[in-house]
Amino acid sequence: MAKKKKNTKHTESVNRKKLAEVEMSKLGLTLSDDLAAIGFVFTHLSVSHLVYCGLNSINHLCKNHTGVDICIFTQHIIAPCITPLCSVFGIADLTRWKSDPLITTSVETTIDALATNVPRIYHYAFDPEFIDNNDRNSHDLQEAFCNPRVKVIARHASHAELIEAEFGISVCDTIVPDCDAMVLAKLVLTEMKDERKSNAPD
Amino acid sequence: MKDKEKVTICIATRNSKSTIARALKSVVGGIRPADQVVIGDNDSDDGTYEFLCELLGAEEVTIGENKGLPPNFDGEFLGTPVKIFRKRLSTTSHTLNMAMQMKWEGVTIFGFLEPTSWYAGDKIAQAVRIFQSKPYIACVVSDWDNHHENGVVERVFKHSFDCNRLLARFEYDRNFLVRSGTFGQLKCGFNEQMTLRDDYDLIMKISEKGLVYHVPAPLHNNTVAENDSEQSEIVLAEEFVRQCAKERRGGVNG
Repeated sequence: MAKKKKNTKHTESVNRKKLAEVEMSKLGLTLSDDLAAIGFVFTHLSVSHLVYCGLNSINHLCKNHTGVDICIFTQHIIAPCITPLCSVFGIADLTRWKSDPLITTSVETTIDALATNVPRIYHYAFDPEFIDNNDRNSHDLQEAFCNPRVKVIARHASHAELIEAEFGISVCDTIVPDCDAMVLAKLVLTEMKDERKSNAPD
Repeated sequence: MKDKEKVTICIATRNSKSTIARALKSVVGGIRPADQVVIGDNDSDDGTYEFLCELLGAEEVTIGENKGLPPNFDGEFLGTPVKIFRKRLSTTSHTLNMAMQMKWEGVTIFGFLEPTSWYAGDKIAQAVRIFQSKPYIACVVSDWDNHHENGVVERVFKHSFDCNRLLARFEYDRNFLVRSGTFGQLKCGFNEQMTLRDDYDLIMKISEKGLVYHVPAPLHNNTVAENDSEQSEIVLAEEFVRQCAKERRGGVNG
């Protein structure tokens, strides 16, 4: 009896599947999960520390990881300092965002996100905007940090302490420096998964 | 701590006898000491230069019939090479530009330090790590602690760099570090005509060439003192910087 030939195409697909599994596990996902989407909301995409680091890491995430779809929303449509490798929308399109996690990057963008029906907003507080800002409406600040739909993520441990002392809230334990999209994605996707699991009927 | 960077710290002194030793110790000590320090004395009359000569062991020299301290001297302080020089009174920016020109070959990072301030032990180490992590970073600024006369230490929180925010106001101070290649791109250093806010002018120019990276940790210490300059003069200087930036940018993005 002739020896059965090895199907090389099958081996290749198995290897690809393994690779995809490894990549997705870095974001806390498995192949059986639905395609995840994450929205990032920026005030503008012009030159700033936040945007430069944020877009760089978002582009890295888009290039190297499967299973997650990234969308950027921006309040001011001006030329980006780095060409994003994902879709970019105006802030008006935020109303079409449904139940996927949304990461806002300032008080202004959090207020805009709160005006939509998005159930969970992750306010990535890159700067302590409430300091030396007398123009800012204190109601906006309270909303952006204390609204029950908002979870605050800090850039530095000292910022986390400051926010907790100022608003009496509990900031996310994970500190995310330099708007690292990979860490932010893993954090929000894991939380969303856990939340869905706990809400699922037994 | 080993790395391939060569860090030179430039300090311009003017009647800073009481604080310069603390400033110098902070940059030659710490986790990652500076590779060289250049101190330019801006015609102090409180004995700052004499104090620096004593600190480094410079002896009097005789030139013709004149005997006195050398106009410049290369010494060592706690194992780090220190270069000092004195010059006629001019602006701080002129002194710092001269200090930068007196550097050794192969300097990759310039750091600047006010003689009344001092670096935290990990400031240079953190800056080196940041410069090495991302090639597009041109300058590293940080938060700081303010030390008041009554002994109170106040943590100062600053915002990260944003081109629009920087155009509206200057948040940082002179205690920052710059990649030396940035000066080559700028083809200039500090604006020597400016007596105030020359640091704002430089950071504004640097921000047009690379990223100004803000570290949200107190990496240096400032002493709080009464500012001799009138607030109106500072406002005028800042307005001048903004006008220059707008002219350079030719209306693009402000």
